[in-house]
Amino acid sequence: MAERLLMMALSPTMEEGVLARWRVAEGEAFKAGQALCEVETDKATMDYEAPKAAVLLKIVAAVGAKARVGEPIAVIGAAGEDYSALLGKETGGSAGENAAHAASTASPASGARPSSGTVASGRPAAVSAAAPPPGGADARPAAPVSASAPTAPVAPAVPYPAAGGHVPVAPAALPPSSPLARARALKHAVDLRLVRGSGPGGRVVERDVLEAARSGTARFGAPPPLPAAPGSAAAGSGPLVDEERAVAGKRAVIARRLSESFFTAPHFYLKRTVDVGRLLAARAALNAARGEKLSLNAYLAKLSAVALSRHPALNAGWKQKPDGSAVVEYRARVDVALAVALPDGLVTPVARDCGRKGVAAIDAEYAALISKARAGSLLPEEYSGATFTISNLGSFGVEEFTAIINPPGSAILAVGAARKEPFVKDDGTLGVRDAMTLTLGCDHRVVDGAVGAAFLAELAALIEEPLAALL
Amino acid sequence: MSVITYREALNRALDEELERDGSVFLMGEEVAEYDGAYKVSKGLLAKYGARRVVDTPITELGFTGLGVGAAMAGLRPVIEWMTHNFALLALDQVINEAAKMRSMSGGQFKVPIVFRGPNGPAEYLAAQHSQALASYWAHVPGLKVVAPATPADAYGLLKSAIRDDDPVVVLEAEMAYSWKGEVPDEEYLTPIGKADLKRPGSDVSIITFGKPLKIALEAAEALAAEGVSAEVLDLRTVRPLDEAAIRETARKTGRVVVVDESWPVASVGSHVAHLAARDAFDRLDAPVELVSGEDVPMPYNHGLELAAQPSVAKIVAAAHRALYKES
Amino acid sequence: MADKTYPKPSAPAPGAGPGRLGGLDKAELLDLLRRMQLIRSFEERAGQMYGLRKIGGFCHLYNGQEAVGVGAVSALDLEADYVLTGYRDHGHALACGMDPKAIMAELFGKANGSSRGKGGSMHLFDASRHFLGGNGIVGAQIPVATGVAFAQAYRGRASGEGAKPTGATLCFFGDGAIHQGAFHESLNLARIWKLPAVYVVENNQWGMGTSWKRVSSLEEFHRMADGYGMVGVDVDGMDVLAVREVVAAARARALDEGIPTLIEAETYRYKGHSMSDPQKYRSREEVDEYRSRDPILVLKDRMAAAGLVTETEWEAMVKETDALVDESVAFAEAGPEPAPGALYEDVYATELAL
Repeated sequence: MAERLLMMALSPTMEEGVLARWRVAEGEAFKAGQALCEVETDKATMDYEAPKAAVLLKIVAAVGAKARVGEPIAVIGAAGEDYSALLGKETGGSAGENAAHAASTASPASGARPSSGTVASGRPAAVSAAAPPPGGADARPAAPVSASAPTAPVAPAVPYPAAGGHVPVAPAALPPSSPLARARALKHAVDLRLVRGSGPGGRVVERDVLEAARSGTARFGAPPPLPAAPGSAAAGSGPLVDEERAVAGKRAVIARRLSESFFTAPHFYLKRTVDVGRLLAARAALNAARGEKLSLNAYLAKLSAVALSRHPALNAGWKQKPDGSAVVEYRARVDVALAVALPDGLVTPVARDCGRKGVAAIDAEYAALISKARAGSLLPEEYSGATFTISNLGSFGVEEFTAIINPPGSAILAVGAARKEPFVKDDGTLGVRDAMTLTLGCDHRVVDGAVGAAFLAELAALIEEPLAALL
Repeated sequence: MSVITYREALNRALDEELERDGSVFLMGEEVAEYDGAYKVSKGLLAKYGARRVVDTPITELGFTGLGVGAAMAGLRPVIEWMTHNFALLALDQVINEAAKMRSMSGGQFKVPIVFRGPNGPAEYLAAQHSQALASYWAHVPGLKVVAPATPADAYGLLKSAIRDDDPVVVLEAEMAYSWKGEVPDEEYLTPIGKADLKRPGSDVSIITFGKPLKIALEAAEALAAEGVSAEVLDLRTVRPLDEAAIRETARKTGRVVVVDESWPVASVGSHVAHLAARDAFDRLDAPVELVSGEDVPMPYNHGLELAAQPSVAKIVAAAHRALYKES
Repeated sequence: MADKTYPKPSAPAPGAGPGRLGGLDKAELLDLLRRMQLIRSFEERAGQMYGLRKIGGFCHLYNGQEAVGVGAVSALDLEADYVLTGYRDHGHALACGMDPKAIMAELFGKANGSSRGKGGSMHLFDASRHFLGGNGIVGAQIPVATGVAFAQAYRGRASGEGAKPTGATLCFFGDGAIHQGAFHESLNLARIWKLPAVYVVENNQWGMGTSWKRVSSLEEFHRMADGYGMVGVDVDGMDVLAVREVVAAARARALDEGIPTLIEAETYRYKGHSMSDPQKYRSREEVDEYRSRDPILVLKDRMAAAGLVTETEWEAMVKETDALVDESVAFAEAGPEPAPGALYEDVYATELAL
């Protein structure tokens, strides 16, 4: 029996994907697990694997089209099967069951009406569905769809229509929600974007959050719900704005994850300047001996791993449970992420088990991951799950800075530039040293100040005397 | 405990205070020989004489201002306005004189005066005789404004008003004069500035004052029949407002319906809604609803007149909106 | 004519006996002269301080009208009687014996002012001297004053109907106020309840920039008393002794007979309506004509002619009042600004319940 093939979340944070390439043609049969197409996610280009063996009856999302998670990208089934009804439904109700319900309530005629023209044009459903916000400024929350239904029967209902003349809310943004719902969501770690609002205009209200918390369907990181059609770009940009770029993909993920981290994890920062002279000398000597250059970051990752193994309290992460309680997860293995700037945004490849690996192995691991990231093929498991992150802006001449913790870790080390600096020696005379300023950002829910300071002292000692790592 | 009318409760309060304090006198149109236009002062002339229960010519500005001077000179006038509609003629004396004298003199004078009379619409009286003017008085620093809705509160608040050292405006209601309620037989004072939880509940807060308390309680009953537990907070005093009580109920239920029979713009109700939104923001699950008088001069026709006022149905509908329930 | 219907008080005449004038002895006369001169000196300096921006807002000066305020208040007993006035109140306050230092500090808006800096020029009060202010709304003090008289009658009649009031209340207002409803309502109430009220309209010819002649149905304001069955009297407001005499008679009538009086005092203000008044509506000649009848010089000359003041005494008096005004300015200058915390003070007599 024919069915719609829906866009899946191909990374933990993916909310929409762009069809990069179809590997199977219409009419072609495929096996379970076969790559049907390639999808550009927020982080990388991923293969979309067939969930079952079938025939690709119809491609709905053409190359270049965007599809939100849950939106149909194709119809599959048995060869020769009639799938026109499916196409109609998916076009009329591509925003999912919520919206289909609303649309059919408002305009019974619209539900089953195929919109073959739209599909035949090859434009993806999500784009064709980008109807203006129903009713515009006149829309009363009670009947957001009915105003537009007669003239635009194919327009899907928008779960969060712009009511009362407000600027349309981009689907990726927070839906309208009551203050109480927001407070409850914070308490229960419910991701409001994943909650269907039952209030007027799709407002998420308390009962929606409590229901989501009970069912566990909207935890942070859970797959997004059936999507809303994007609002039109009706929001007038001011005359001083030269260009407006939609925030999506990787940018949106960075924005969301780091906002979550910054606004939920209480950060504190510890700063310490270390003498990096011995480490630089040792690195130079090893580089010369081996004939290959190992990055300073690999050394810092290794030394951090040693220090973390001696201060396991930091090798941990805060975890919010659906019921509102929380746990701190402690880990034996030390995985260290490295913040890497790419033209389209930040990635954080993770070198695993750095405590057991040598600097060369860590360096090689980072190098491989970075080249995959540049190619857009870094896998989710390769950039997530680190307990500790290093961010080094020294190459930009930055002396010191504070960084935002990379979840689920509980600490991040911000590394400044190594520089020559005068200092007062123990005997009171002035000397010159290779100074480097480290700023450790900690999640106070997991780590207290003294704990972080002890770790930083350990790390400083290791950097100043790398041989101590052997102890 | 006796069951008496609101009118009798006011009369008892006046009687007791005239008896207790020789500096208290009652002045107004028809208060003495006619026994009061609404019979609130019934029998008081006979008991206290024309020196202390004083009929005036129809001269609201004159006798209101006279009361202010008498208060500055140490008496405790109770000025009866036949209705608050006519008090508009005396606005200057209340706002510019009574309310400000203490501040303008750097605290040299007290103005212990009570202005009282029926406020708000009654029936078939049309635009000039049916208006709820609480906001006019509540707006003014230096005044205190009370709005009793039950016989017990009418008694206790009027006595407190007469004993207060500041000017107090008492908002009575013509329709309420014949309402009955239990009033304790022993003497008591109802504190100015304290709201009263007339009905506890958990799902939605109905906050009101004065005459609409009756329909607010009826609406709560109607809501209870459909399984909604409505809390009814009677503000009793609209200046100073019991902000703590507003905060408490708004935070408790997270849903607020304010009922004020005044016009909606710049009203006590709209200010209460502001306080609820400000002080309970993170606990609100719905926008604060305001059920007000309609924004029109009161029509004479009874159907239109009723449509222009808050009603049980309007309050229930507002509660439904606040609860995201289908009406 | 009111003064035909009712017996007009005797015209101010030289007092009987040597060394007296208007029934007053030298010390009493010197006191009147000094009070007027203190007002004159104070107002001149207030005008100067306004020009120096030490005083802001509305500032209505009393120069030229001193005989009305001083003459009228001199006929009262401020232990029992009360005085109320409008916004041109500096002179009345000083006539009641209010401390010029506290007044000047109030004009400066300082915390040591009579209203702690909250009232300003138009709102001077002194409870201890029975001076109930200083009112900024034209005519609004008239019902209030009537209420004070009501209280005096109420207290007096506590011992029985017909018993005398405990005192009288004198209410000043300008010719601009007599067309307000408040004035007419008050006169009616005062008459029907036999209140011990004495209303003094100071006709200084100009209601702000409007000549009374353009806006009054009557030329003789005191005749408005006729409409309310009261006594109406007119008096030369530039003659302090004449004013004193009609007020004394009115007070006695109020206390003894329960008949309120409307006194029309014809006077003149030398300065503009307020400090911001360009005075385009009247001529320099008109002002000069009135200055030639200056109430202070008139009294001084009469006293000098009667041998009741010497030039030396006069000069010493001017010096003394000038020094007192100097001291008042210094007091005001040195006074502290009100503390921010004073903002919410004195709004209510009793603490709010919350």
